[in-house]
Amino acid sequence: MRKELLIFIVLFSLSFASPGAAELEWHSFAFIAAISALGVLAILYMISYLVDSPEMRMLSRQEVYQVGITMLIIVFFISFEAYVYAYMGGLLAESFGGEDASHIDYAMGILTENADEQWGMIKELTEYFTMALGSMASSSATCSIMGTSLTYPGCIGIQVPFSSLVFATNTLVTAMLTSNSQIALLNLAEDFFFPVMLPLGLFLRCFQFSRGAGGLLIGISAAFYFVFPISIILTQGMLNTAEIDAGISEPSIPHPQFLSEDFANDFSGFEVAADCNPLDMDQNAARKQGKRLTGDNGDNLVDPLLFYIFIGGLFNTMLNLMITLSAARALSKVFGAEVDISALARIA
Amino acid sequence: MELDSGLIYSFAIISSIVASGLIAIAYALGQLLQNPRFSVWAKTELFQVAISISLVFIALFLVGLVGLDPDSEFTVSAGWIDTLSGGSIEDVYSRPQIETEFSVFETSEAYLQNLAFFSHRAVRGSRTMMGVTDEFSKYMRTPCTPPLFGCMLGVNGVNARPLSGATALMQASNLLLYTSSAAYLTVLAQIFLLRFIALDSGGLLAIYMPLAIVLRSLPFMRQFGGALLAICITLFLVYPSLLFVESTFWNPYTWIEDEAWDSVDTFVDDLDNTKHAGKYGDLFYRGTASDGAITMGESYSLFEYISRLVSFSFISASFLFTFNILAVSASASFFARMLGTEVDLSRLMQIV
Repeated sequence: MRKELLIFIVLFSLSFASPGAAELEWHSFAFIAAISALGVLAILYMISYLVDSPEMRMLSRQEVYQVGITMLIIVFFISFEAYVYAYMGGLLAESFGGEDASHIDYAMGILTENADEQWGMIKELTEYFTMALGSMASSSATCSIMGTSLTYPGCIGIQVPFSSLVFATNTLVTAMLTSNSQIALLNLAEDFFFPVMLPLGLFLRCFQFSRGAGGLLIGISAAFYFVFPISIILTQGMLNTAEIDAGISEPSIPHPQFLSEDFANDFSGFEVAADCNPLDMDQNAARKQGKRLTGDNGDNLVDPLLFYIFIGGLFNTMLNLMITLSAARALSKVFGAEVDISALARIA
Repeated sequence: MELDSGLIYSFAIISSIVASGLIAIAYALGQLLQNPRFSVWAKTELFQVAISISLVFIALFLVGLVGLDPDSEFTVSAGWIDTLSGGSIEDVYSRPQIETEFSVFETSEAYLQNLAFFSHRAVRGSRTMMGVTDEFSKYMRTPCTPPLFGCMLGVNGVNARPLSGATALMQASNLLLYTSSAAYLTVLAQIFLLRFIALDSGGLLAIYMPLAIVLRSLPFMRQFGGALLAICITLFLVYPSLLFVESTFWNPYTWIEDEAWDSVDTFVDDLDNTKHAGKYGDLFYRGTASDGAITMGESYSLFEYISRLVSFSFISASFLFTFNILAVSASASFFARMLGTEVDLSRLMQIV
């Protein structure tokens, strides 16, 4: 025990050497919380003499031991944070490239870049492919003679790849939403969980009746502040490695020709430079077009989209949240909580 | 949101007298029958009655702190937030404004109303986006060939819905609308939960608190009374206090740029004033480039802004609410343990 205490004391002194440590405000909150708890216990101890209650006296003594443990936890977090700020940035920059930044900033940068990329992909897919394909699928040939009309939806077969594109757009938007939600969670961890909930949790942990609530707050704060961003960085690193190993590049989106340049401005004309002409009356025309549009570029369109959306956008997000929540559950238990936090998993 | 503390004190006194009467009878019976078990039981119960009375005073003092007791001389106000955060709370929130003299409860509700306003803008943006894309994706061009007299003879040529590809965006907007609506409703549910806890007439506090105190004082109902008291204390103190702390340190408005915030509002207002479907299309569709790209209008970029609003409103509403309920559940469980009983409020998370 003495050795561990010495190690903590050494780490504590080093923590103040970090340039990032000076900016942190939660230290003072945490120490005030622990000292307040000590004050409350001192009052309880005095009251125990007043009411002549040996049980209360014993309880106060036991709880002082818990305050000591809480102090050690504070020292541990200060040291760990200082090390993360001092060395993690350089390590990340060396391993994954980019600038030397804190783990939170690094993860934030990854997510912002992902969200921008996903938005760019949605735009490109919509502007070049989805809109044109949808328009083409909607075109039909009509012939009216003596009040009798015949309509031939010659391009309706394109509806099949178009439906897949609708699904792809939906999934891309979901991926973008999850990226933005992760950014919101990182902001929450940086501005609320760590500077506010951690000291509050440390204070609550000092007392027997609120130890569980305190442990829960400490566990969640630490998991979202340390584990979540590091998990984001690692999963992104894995994605980048897989991208290189599997030889996957950016999706190549086809550019089908359908509408003439001034189509939107000149609604009186019907000059349609379509890849699919419903007047062809070729029963297989649409199928051929659909196959041509997606089949030729299938490897360059479908595979990268699947990789970036499902793996990069959705699977990685789920993985990050699952890792974080598992860490929160384990840490909460270590710090004395007995609360089931599985409800938080619903956000995944 | 006020509480008649006199009523609770009266209940406490009456229940203490009733409980003390019962204990006195038991003690007298013990003396009469020369049975020491009765006497020991009576002494233990008398101690519990004393604890119950102290709990009433502690609970009412704490309830006064959060601003539910008008007679309380010491109340925590939103002005404390300025001290904690180093800023001015009146400058941070404006929908509605949180004033420095607001109590914890009033601040919590005003904070939730600000969140509701934020989520509502996400709902409005997604709803408008969905309406616009749905409407112009159905815009149909019908031929009139040959020109002039062609339409008199009938419709011949190629029909097309040139913007029907926007169906994909319409369905994606549906996803945004679903998520933002869930977030908005969750915030509203929180507001109503807060109001249910403390109505003008006292709410839960006026009904359950006296009942809990009475039951806690009665010898055979102690556990039930303790559990009820733990639930009351947690809901009156922990839940609003968590919201109070959140309002100090978490403000989703700061994470959305003014441009995004204002653009979504202008977009919705513009569309409210536009009655012609073709105009909707103009907001999105600017023509076709020579390389085949559909040139999207400026409003298309709003899709990204709206998705950011939706994400932040979801995390602020659903995630934080789950977190708050977890903390409430944990606190209730530990308060109950302190009072010698068991309480499990984890089912409250079903609301989410």
